Amino acid sequence: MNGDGVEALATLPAKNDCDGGAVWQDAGIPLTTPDARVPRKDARRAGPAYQGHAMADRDLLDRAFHRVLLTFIERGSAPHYTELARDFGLAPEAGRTLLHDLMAAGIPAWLHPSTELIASFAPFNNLPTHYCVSVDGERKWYAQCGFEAAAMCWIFPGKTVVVEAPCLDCGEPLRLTMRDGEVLAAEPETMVGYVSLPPKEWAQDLAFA
Amino acid sequence: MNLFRSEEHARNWQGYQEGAAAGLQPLSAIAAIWGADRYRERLNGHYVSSARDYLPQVAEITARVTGGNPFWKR
Repeated sequence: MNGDGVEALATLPAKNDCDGGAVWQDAGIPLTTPDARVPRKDARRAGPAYQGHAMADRDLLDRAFHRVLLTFIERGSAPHYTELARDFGLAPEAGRTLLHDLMAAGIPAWLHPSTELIASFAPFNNLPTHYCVSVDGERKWYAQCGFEAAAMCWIFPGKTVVVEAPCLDCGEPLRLTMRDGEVLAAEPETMVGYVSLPPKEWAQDLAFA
Repeated sequence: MNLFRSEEHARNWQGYQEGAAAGLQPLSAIAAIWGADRYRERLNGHYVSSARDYLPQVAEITARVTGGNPFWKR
């Protein structure tokens, strides 16, 4: 992938993956904001006013990203775009646009097909997965995947995070306990992780990866 | 990306691919990679803007814990 504007973006996969951002950004493509869809040569012509606008949009993406994670933390599920709109004082349609821009920003997240509902937003999943997450004994979250389960502790600093899942081979339970990045317990201790796709291909189908 | 009770269980899984054996990693490696700033900084309030800055570190950690295996090259 190479290029500098809308043509290059059009060649990108529709879905991001656990490191979709890496793929997009390694290709030299800016984080997608409404302005980033404009070829850079046009952006340069637009001058300082355009650039200032782009910065504001990126700030809004930062705040929207943060808002989505906080909503997951608080209630165990993702916000609807109308909630994002309300939180940021936007009209519902602007909230919808914001959601789409956020999901296209190279983060490991995607919408449920044919909907505008967040399906997955790393490290969380909005649809139940087999990676059930408990924090200080409260069980109401799901991890996006087994690897993101290991990153869940960063979302709950200082707290004990327990991930419980069945082994996909035998159905017997797995239990991973972490706090602030430290593995406190792994049951069984022989636990391993496996992914059949190399990272550089994750962006092609994150849900599969 | 899944967790298994052991390497043997992962290899027995119907989704296991012999050609992608390097995708099998100990839990310590998974915890190390997913302990990079790319994953731990998500609540910093400027994550989307900063995402690119985290790439070198996660690439370095990944290369270190996987022994530089090309499968894990980002």
